[in-house]
Amino acid sequence: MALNDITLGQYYPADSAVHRMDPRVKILLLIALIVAIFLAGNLLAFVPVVALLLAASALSHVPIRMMLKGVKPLRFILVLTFVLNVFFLQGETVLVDLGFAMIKTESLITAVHYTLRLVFLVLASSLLTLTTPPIVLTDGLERLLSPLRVVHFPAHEMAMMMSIALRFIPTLLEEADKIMKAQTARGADFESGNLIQRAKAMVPLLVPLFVSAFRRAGDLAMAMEARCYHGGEGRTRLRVLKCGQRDYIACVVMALVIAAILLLNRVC
Amino acid sequence: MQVTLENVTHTYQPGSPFQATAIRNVNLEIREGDFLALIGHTGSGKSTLAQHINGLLRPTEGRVLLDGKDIHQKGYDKKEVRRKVGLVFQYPEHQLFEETVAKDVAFGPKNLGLSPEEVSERVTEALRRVGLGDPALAEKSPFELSGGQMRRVAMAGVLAMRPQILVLDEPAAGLDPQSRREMLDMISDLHRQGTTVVMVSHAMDDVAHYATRAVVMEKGAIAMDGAPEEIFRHGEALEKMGLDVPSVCKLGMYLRENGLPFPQDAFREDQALSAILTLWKGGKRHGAQ
Repeated sequence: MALNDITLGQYYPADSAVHRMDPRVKILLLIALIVAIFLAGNLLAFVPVVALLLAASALSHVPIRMMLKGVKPLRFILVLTFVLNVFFLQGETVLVDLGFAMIKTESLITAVHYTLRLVFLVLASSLLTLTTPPIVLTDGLERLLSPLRVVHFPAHEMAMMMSIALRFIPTLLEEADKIMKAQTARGADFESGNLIQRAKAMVPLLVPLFVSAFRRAGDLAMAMEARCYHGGEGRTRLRVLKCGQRDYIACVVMALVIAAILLLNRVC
Repeated sequence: MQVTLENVTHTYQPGSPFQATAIRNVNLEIREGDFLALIGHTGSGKSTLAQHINGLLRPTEGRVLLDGKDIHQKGYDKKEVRRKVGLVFQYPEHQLFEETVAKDVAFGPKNLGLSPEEVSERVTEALRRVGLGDPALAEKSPFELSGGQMRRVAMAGVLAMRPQILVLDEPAAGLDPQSRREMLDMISDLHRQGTTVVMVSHAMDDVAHYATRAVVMEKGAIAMDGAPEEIFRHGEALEKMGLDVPSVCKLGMYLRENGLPFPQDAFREDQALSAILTLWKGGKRHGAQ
């Protein structure tokens, strides 16, 4: 059945310095990198960004090809951004005159700039998701958001819900596959018919799936209570997040990249 | 009605990093009137094999023949396979979905395109067969029933399609001893009335009691195939595969280890009784001397 083909998240398993970095640092550095990308005021200022992305790709053993996969779904937006900017921005020097519209040098440069900015944003964020397993990511997010507890933001609860949801997606997929097979064995047809017939055909799949999801949720809640789970208060963890040398080095590198961008902004 | 598996190999998610071959080069002929027990360790490929019998899984290599015709050939009506071969999954009560018991049991026959009268007749018959003949029960929601009753409703859902071959994946798993006996007796009745049965099972006592043929799977291949008395003679080989033997065989092994001549081929309670009686009478004579 087709359900086997679904891949979850886009974590690319490898053993590298980037993979081993503290998720909190990775999240913060991603934010810094996003700011840096927006800071870059001209094309030349993208050079440090490209250098950083290439270096990270080499260091993490994640092929550039994998990172570019994240860009593919955005191709229409990219093309749209480019086309709109090329034709609608103001400029002085006419590069090509198409008769019905003119392409100006300045607007072409800006269009390239904006499009590349989008590409780099996607590449930067996929670098994070490719090198960090979802569970570790939520863990890092929880720690980063935990200061917000003072304003009653439920950081721990949110992270727990996210990790439980992530944990159960494969289980539910498996369950769905099994139920689908069982109903097929009773002559159910999931593949033909018009839209309404197909929607109706989903009932024998969805009802048992919901029933089992609720059953599992109940069991899980019971098992968590049996192990004295009472929220995040005073809870210690198995894997304590710790910043190491590589995290400090990464921060320094990021600072250098931002400095280089600011410098290049001045120069050109 | 006969099913033949010819050199069937099944690989899950071929070409991906999660590629796994569940069964390899399996040749099996399920003959009419068989009560075939499919035995094997967890992950030995029993369930995968069972799902090939009614065409739910398509073999990566090899063919599945129903009365000599390849069921995956173009133009072969899959509904025909589903009608002839009924498959009851493990924990079938997890697939109940309708508002009432009767409606749920009717799902299969309705999908076969039968007339409403025929459907309702089959539903009544199937429910009676699984021991839920009470008409008040048929109008209840299946989710109000006990676990054992739900299992029987799910079973009725498959029986209502009147399959000639019934494939069951551990039909008695998780049932209490009484429901277990009732479930197995019901399957045995169906077999006596002419349904060919294929049952995946871990419980060797059940196999000893009900099956006319046992097929042992190991690591995706058939390791043994024969009458239960032949299979259970190789008790040690079975234990090496991480499998059990019937309690009578265990008793026999223990007695033989302690020097008593308990016959090798006794594996059912009645055989054990006559063997023990013989031993006892012999012992008495010995004592009298």
